[in-house]
Amino acid sequence: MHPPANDRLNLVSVPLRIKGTFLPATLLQPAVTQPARFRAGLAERISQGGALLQTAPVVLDLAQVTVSDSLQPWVEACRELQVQLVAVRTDVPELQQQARELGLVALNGSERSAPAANQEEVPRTKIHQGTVRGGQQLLCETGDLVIMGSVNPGAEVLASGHVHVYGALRGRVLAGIHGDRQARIFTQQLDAELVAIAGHYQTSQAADWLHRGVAGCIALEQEQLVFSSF
Amino acid sequence: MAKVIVVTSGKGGVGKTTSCASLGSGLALRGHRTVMIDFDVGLRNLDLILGCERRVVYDLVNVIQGEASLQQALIRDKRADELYMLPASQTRDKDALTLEGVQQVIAELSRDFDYILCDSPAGIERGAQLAMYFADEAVLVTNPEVSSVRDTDRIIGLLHAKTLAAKEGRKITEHLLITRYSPERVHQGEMLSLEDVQEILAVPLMGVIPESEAVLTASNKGIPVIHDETCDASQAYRDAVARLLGEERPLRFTEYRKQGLFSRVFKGGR
Repeated sequence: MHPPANDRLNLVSVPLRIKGTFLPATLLQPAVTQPARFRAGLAERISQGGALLQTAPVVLDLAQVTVSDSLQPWVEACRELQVQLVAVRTDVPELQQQARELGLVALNGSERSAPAANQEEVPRTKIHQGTVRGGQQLLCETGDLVIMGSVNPGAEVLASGHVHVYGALRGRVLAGIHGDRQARIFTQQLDAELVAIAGHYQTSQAADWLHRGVAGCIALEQEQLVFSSF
Repeated sequence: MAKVIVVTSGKGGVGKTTSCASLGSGLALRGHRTVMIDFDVGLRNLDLILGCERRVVYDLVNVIQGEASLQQALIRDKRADELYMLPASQTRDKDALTLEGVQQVIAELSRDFDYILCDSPAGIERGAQLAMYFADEAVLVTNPEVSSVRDTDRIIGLLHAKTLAAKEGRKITEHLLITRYSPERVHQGEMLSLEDVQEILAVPLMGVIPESEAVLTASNKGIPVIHDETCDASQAYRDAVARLLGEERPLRFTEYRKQGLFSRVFKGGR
């Protein structure tokens, strides 16, 4: 007669979680162009105690040498020696294609270049004059958000950079929404409903310090949101 | 050109209609031709507070749908010569109102009147948004209580976003009217203080109406409380009307005074 007690719980439980992360991987950089010489050198290295290569994920980085024709002998060399190859890093499109066909991840070789000063991507600060009212949402995806007024209960302000509130902070505030862990929240009077930096959040029920009513700054330090008064 | 003033709050039961009736009466008593429009279609109340419910023939929806003329629908107040009201429909719902219809009604009234008071329904939906759409000024009726303050805050956000003034880049003049204020309960820490409410809403104060039994009595009799000159609430509404007209008046009835023995004996306490 009783409905399954778990039904309600199942409704609210989440079947999976997605989190951004940086996993350590070993870069393996061949310094020769012949696969045979590479294989010999790799075997020797493993016999000398390079066991880590056989347990940790390894990325084959082909930036140093020009591998003209086929990726196959390089990958085979790694597999024969039980190296846990997961990806190949190269700029050559043909090699990237081959890597995918061999069941590996193809990574781009070059690091992303920093935006130049005259590019659109340059961080832009958004300034809001006046109080942000309950039910209103202010978003700045390109940099800092400055509010020359208060953020009232029920209001939400979000920025990819810092959030400055030159009034009372009584609503919800999220800084570093694209993952910037250096982002901070500044306010003249802290009385927030929720604060978050780079996905680490704190609700006011769980944290009395959100109602200190004083001026200060919130930063993310060692996975913890930390408040310091001015 | 008339000044269009919306009387709004977000939350229900805080005294929008009561305040609208008294402010409208007060403006008319000061010699300004004033018309009040009841936007609470389906839950019409303003006619009851004014005591003219038995004279309602046509209503706002009839006018908008072309079933009656404005002159036929307007009801003249018995007590204040310069005061008229346009009742809401009791049998229709808020979907019967159209933006164009409301615009026409306001434009037409605007020729004959100095002030148009729009009595908004509670909530933030279509009815409330229509009531505020053409406003030049807004009276924000708020009780000294957390949920009322929060709902008023939400309404201010809508005034800044969803009105004609906002779309044309004009600023609506906002007035905060705090109703049902009890200095004694504020003193005891049971009620938000004037300062608390003002700090959150950051809107100029137009008046503070003290909690008073006379308000309920007046509503039940169908006489706006402003006519009962003996009570505090009437005096406070008169002050609020004066401030709406740009006069300066000191705040009254906001200080807690400990009752002396004599007044307790003679008034029989509370």
